[in-house]
Amino acid sequence: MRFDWEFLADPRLAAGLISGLKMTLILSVCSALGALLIAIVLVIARIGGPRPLQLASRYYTDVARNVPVLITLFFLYFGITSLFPPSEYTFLRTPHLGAIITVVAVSLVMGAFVSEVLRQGVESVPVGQVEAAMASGLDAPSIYRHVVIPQLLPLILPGLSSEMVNVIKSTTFAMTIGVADLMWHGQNLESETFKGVETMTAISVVYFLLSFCTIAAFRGLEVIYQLPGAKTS
Amino acid sequence: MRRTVLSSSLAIAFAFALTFLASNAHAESTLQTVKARGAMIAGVRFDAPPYGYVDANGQNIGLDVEIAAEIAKRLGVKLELIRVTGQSRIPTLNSGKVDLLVAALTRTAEREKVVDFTMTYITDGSAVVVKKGSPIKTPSDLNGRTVSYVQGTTADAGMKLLAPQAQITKFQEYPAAFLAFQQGITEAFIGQALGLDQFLKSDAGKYEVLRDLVVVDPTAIGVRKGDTEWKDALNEILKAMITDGTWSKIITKHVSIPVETPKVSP
Repeated sequence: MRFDWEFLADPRLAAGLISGLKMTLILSVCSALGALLIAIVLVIARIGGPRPLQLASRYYTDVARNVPVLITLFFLYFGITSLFPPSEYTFLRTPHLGAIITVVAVSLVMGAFVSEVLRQGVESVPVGQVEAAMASGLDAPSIYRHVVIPQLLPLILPGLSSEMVNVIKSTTFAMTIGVADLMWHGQNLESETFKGVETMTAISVVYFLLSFCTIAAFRGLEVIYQLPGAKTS
Repeated sequence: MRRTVLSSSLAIAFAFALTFLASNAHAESTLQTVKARGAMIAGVRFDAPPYGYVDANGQNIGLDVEIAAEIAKRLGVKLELIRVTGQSRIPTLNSGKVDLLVAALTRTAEREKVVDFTMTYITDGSAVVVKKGSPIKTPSDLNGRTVSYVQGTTADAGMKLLAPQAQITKFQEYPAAFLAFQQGITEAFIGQALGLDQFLKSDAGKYEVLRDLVVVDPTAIGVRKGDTEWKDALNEILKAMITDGTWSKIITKHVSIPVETPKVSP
């Protein structure tokens, strides 16, 4: 089987890759923000909330990390529509239903993973720091801004970068519910042109570049937010 | 310097020669390979009733499976089945993992560039299913409406011609595409006309099938390009099956709607 290098210049490939990349970027960014939001809520509940809220947060994290993203995706997509059939609830009749449900599902699952990273960071900031800051007369917002967050960021940024790459990879499941992301366009091109190896190689390269840029961006953030005197490897 | 350039260009020339040899190695007749091996490896579907599907015991059954079994019997060899999907069938044939494809394979101009086809053994089509009372009456009414079907099927080409403005959601397999239609996410579903029974039998009164097909699918057996001896042998067997009535027996067992007998040129 010879690799058809000429196919890489085919305009159909470029059109499919660009269209798919746009959708994957939208899905990834929205899912990442959603996951971060859910993670912050979970961490606040876990650390500062009343006992029942703490337990709820802990159980949610344990369950959400164990269920595969694909199952959550199918459950939401086909389950929501069986409870609220779009023929009666017309607001569900949008062509973006698949994309919205993908963002929700990935946020729910990855939110649990990100919350673990955040919790690790929060628990690693020494309590003495906060106590000393309070003794110095700083008010709560200033404590967070000047004492806690600067010590928190270098601790969580490495974990966040790997979770962000996991978010990008989790969005590939969207193709099973018909969302036209990068992976879906790869399958589409393969069925139209029968050049599976070339298409999948191109798609893999794009995903690799996407992850590479994400990790590079987070490394840049690590360098910006590193504490004076600390050395990041 | 000169020595390295010479040796590397020799190496590249050698590699090219090897790839030519490798591709020529596939040009030997599959008929001889099958007879020598004593077994015929057929690629069949396991997800496409009535062509190839899995029964309650996990056995692969369907009209394609029975046609393959009949061909193996007439060749005097055993039958081995390899499961393929709509996406993987052609790559599986071209990589040599199967001898032939009896996998609900429609003859299209695009596919003729990569595989060879025997005569058409059944004429199928892609039919549109809508909910009873839907305003969609013909495939062109699908413009501006939502429709779901399986990626990689011939419905694509038909839809581009008949309803280019349709909002299409393409799934990976029939159950997901039909479920989306059933739940109301899409207003129409396109599937193989001969295989709609299993979807419609659950709620027979709720759905109707449009009379006009999106596309007509002449289904044939797929063989590798250039494999003429094997293709001719298969054509002979198919003609014999049609003339002596075996074909009708197999088809009526699996398909409830009337199917026209393929024309056999004498």
